[in-house]
Amino acid sequence: MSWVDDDSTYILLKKMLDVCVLRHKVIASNIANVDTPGFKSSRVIFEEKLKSFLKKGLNKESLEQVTPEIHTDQTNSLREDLNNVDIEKEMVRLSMNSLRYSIYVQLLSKKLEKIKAAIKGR
Amino acid sequence: MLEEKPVQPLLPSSGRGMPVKLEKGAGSKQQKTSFKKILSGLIDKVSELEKNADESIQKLITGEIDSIHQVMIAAEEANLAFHLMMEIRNKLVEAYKEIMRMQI
Amino acid sequence: MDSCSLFSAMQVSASGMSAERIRLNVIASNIANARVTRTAQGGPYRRKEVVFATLLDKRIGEKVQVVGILPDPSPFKMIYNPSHPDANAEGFVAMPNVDIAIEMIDMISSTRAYEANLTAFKSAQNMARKALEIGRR
Repeated sequence: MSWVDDDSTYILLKKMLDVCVLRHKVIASNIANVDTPGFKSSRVIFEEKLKSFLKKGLNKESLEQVTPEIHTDQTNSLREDLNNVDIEKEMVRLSMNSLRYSIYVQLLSKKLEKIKAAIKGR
Repeated sequence: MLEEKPVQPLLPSSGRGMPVKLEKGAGSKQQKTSFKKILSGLIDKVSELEKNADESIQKLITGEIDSIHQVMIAAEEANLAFHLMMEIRNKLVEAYKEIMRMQI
Repeated sequence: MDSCSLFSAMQVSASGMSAERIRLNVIASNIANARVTRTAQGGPYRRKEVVFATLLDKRIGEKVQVVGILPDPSPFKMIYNPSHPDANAEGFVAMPNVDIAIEMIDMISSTRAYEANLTAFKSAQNMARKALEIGRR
């Protein structure tokens, strides 16, 4: 239906939900491997990429080109087992990511409600 | 003579993307045909969305899609499209009834 | 996005919890046997260590698993205690190579890691529940 497909913010919100789930997966991996020798932590890069794309204006086409990336931090840690997972950082990221997911779900729901009201209302 | 009642705009903010904003009345076969076209176009879109939603559900069950929000959104979009279709159908029926009353 | 999935993440977190639980069991065993001078194999108890490794499952992600529980090769502690029934000719007893302080630190670290995995697991659950609210009045 053209009404939803034309709303680029709606499409952006859908994309953000996917990004949040991917990010959660990466954080969960980092946390699970906090004691694994040699493990290097990773993170998801997306919002910075999005920012530069948005400078050209938000539209459907530009959105399709922005994809999330997973960067692995290869720097050495001070730990003997060379594991560089910072558990406190991961916990903060976990919490913030979860909150953002909730926010995006709410915003998306509000958009859908608005459409529903417009259909039914007089 | 078909007198159309304007259908409520769907998105107050952006008038584009509105498949069925009917303008002036012009009772003619041409107008009837475009009604048909619009309506069947709508019905096609709705069944396409319904199919997508059903496929998403199947894939969720078999594990092909793991994304809950994807399925929920697909289901809701299909739902909204269906409701839209129903509302338009209702308004068309209303309009038809009014016309029938007028002729008598 | 393929396998953009909260379910996989939950499995990864569960693997973390399993691994840390095994580690905690080994630590508990070390602590419990810290003063055992007579094991079934003869001789004092030898400290055990767990070895973690990442298991990369293409569909699910980077799970962790315990690939081995190995004996700690460091030497036994020789304590001077001539009245001990297992003392040798010079009066020294070979005690397990367990340092309680280290075991306690490991236990805290492992517990913290277990809880972190549990938090991650619950977080995924919350996100999944939140997604169910899309379209609900």
